[in-house]
Amino acid sequence: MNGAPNPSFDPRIASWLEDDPATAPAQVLETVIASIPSIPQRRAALRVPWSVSRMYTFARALVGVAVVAIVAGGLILASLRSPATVGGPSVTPSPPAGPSSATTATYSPGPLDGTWSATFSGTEAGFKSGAIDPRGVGTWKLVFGPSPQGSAFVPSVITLHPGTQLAAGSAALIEYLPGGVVQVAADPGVGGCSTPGTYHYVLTGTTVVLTLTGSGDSCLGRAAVMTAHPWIKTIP
Amino acid sequence: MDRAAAGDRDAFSALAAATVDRCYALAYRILRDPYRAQDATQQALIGAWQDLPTLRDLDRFDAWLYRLVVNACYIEIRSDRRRAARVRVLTLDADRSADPATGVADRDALDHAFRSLTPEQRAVVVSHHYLGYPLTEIAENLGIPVGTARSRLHYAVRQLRAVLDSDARNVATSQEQSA
Repeated sequence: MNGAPNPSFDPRIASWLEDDPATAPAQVLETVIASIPSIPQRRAALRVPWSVSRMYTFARALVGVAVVAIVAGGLILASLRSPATVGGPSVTPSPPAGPSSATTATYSPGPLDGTWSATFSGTEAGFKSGAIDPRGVGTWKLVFGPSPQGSAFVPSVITLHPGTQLAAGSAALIEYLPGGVVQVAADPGVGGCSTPGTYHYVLTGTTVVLTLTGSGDSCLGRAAVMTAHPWIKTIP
Repeated sequence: MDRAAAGDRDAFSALAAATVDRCYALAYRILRDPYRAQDATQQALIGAWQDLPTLRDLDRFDAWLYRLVVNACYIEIRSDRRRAARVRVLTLDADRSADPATGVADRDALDHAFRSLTPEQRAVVVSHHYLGYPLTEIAENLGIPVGTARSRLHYAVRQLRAVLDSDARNVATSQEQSA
């Protein structure tokens, strides 16, 4: 084993790789530029604010004591409110209220709230048996947030796409289930899905990239749209 | 680049415009899929925007971005294995069929063989044979020992040849049986 060049085979690999495309489709850059305003940059290091750095030692000590007191008070309160949690808090995040709690007075923001974008070529599964469907070409959006229909306190997802009604419903109520699962309700609208669908959701890239997976949706068109691409958050 | 690192969105947009083709070309060659290459390119550039202020040596931007793209490709390959099967229509490129040096059959055979490689092997093969990086630079950019880069390249090329030979034998056998 030496990794030495192979005079007969290496040029063949190089030639083959050279023939592949070298230019990105325009929508790649467009999506990146559109998403940047909603994505904060990470700072290299936490800097001490000017006002704090000039504080006297005694004042800084007071601030430190106050912080410790607040944290300790919070921990005591938390332990008093959850006496059954012996062994530490649960690692399962509690999902926000779903459609079943429609009478709740205030809207509980969900982990997916915001606008997410993905660029489709129109040839993904479910689009007219794999043929290119011009109605599906372009940038699709998923908008998670308060329901635009009925109660404004119920979380929902709207699928916005460049063409007419195609594969996914125009709007649907959602419910966050334990274990990182979101359930999309049936969409009674014309061309909508008649059954609910469930998806696992994973947020990466400091929660600006959403990946939906899973086969818990019998509405194949909706499933194709939801799972074909990672979704990039473009509006928080 | 300094302005982009300081949060100037217009400066970063210009930087992204100048590098997006290179990112896509690299991602396409590793992933062998235009749609996944688009996704990986977007994720790498968004990651670059997020983390640019943490890059200490801006002169290393190209190598750093290269690593972001390769890592995005790894994520794409692994996430795609978990995803439901997708159906995609492959379009035939007329120019390829007219290429006298590398025919369609040869390209398809290489494509099939390449897909048998691990993501890590693919990255080293593309870096060496397409970008022209020496093994020392590949190792430095990917953060691996030179010996590991050399080993990956060696076994990748051996695997490519093995799959190509196997495919050729299968074709010969089926032709003999049909004759």
